Amino acid sequence: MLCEKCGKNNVTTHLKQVINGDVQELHLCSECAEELGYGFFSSLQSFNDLVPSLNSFLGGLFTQTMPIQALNPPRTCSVCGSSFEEIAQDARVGCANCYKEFYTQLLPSIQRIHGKTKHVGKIPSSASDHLKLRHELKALQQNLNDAVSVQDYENAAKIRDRIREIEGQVKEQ
Amino acid sequence: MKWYLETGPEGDVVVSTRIRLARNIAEFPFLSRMSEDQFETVNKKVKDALYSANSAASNDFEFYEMEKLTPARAMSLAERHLISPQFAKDKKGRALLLSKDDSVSIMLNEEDHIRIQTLLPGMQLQEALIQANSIDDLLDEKLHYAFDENIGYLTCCPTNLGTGLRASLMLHLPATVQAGALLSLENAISKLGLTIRGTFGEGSKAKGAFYQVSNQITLGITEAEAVENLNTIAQQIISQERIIRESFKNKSLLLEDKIYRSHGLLKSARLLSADEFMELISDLRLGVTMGIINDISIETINSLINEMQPATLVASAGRKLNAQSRDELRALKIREVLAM
Repeated sequence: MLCEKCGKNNVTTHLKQVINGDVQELHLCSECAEELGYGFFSSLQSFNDLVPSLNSFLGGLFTQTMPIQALNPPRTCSVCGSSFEEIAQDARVGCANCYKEFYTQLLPSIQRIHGKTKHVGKIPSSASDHLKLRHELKALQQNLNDAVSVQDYENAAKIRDRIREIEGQVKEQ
Repeated sequence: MKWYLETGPEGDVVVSTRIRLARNIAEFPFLSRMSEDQFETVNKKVKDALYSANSAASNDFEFYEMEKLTPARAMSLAERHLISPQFAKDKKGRALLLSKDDSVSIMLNEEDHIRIQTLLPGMQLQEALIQANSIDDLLDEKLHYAFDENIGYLTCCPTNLGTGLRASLMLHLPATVQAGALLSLENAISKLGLTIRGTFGEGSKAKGAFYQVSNQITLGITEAEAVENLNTIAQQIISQERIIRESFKNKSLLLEDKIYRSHGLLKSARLLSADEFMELISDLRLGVTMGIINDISIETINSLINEMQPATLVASAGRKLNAQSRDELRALKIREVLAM
């Protein structure tokens, strides 16, 4: 058996790791094991050297949601043809549409990775008007707080008028 | 002027700031599902979008097809953190837009269609974010980004979903390492949703005590919040490093001896490997920032760190070099710079 990292030398070191109940195994030659040190599981840098292992580790995150999938007939993305199993295997999504198609299956993993599932950052110009207004509203509320905190009430009043205006538009929509 | 020839804020500890935004174009599948033609179309679309943008910034970029670069040239870009090592190794179908001062790079068909990256000297998170955002806005005018109202910018790997933002600081922490405080720092940082890893050298062994601290979480957090988190934690790491450096002054003879020895080796050695160089230049950098050595600037040290990496050295020589002649050339160039 050849080392999973360098692919050249014979395996001398077998490592086992349990993540959320999933057992991951690594088989390394003495050189690569030495190079990585014993503490390497705690370091993402080392995982970057072991790209296949990292992917299967991330894939492990996905496969925890797979039993639900197994009950349904196998489905593929209508745009790129990826199945959920393929996505889960290498932790790489096939196309933007996969996120729509497999949204409910991907969501638990996304929650595990980020702790949250709702985007609150920047939005592109192609976003819906509704989203743009909500985004602007959020920014204005921040500005309002800033203006009040430095007692710039004149500016605060202007910002509050603009907020009311946008709130009106949001309601209409 | 190249960005790394300047020293930025907090330059005694912070070498550089990097911001990366991951973006994909809606009408193309992600990398693993793309055809050769689509690789080319993506390259062309982004290039055209940038060059046709109504902005002075767009004239500042050179376009490179990665396959046309020599391996040394490509690896040299990775050594200077302008592209990822993976992008330098596997060049097929990939292209790069690089600003003339090396401060902005746009990798095309890396893991995502578009990876915008800005690099600035010292601690300049806000500034680097503003620059990255302005490039992002230019491209957004012409391209239709893959985006979802709930989970944000859509990326090939779900770890980048949301903002697609990775903010990193390259820190020089020789005192923290020397004092044995790195492990506890690593543990603390990982609990705060950040990562720390060595910048030079492989695996867990960082060469020369250069470390990169980055945010991990990209969904459910705004760009400003992510950058502010990193900023707050970095300030603590920086002040800890400075406190330990200050405490070293009690053992000034030992410290000075170590720094002058490293200086002496750099000035005299006839062969210097990349690893040995990184250890020695790290000592010298510490000596300069602590005022022990006064006739060398941090700028000189930062540019040596950039220019003495293996592939960069080979690329500058313009010919193939074996390991020994590379070490010889490195020693020679360093002697020349330090003799000035």
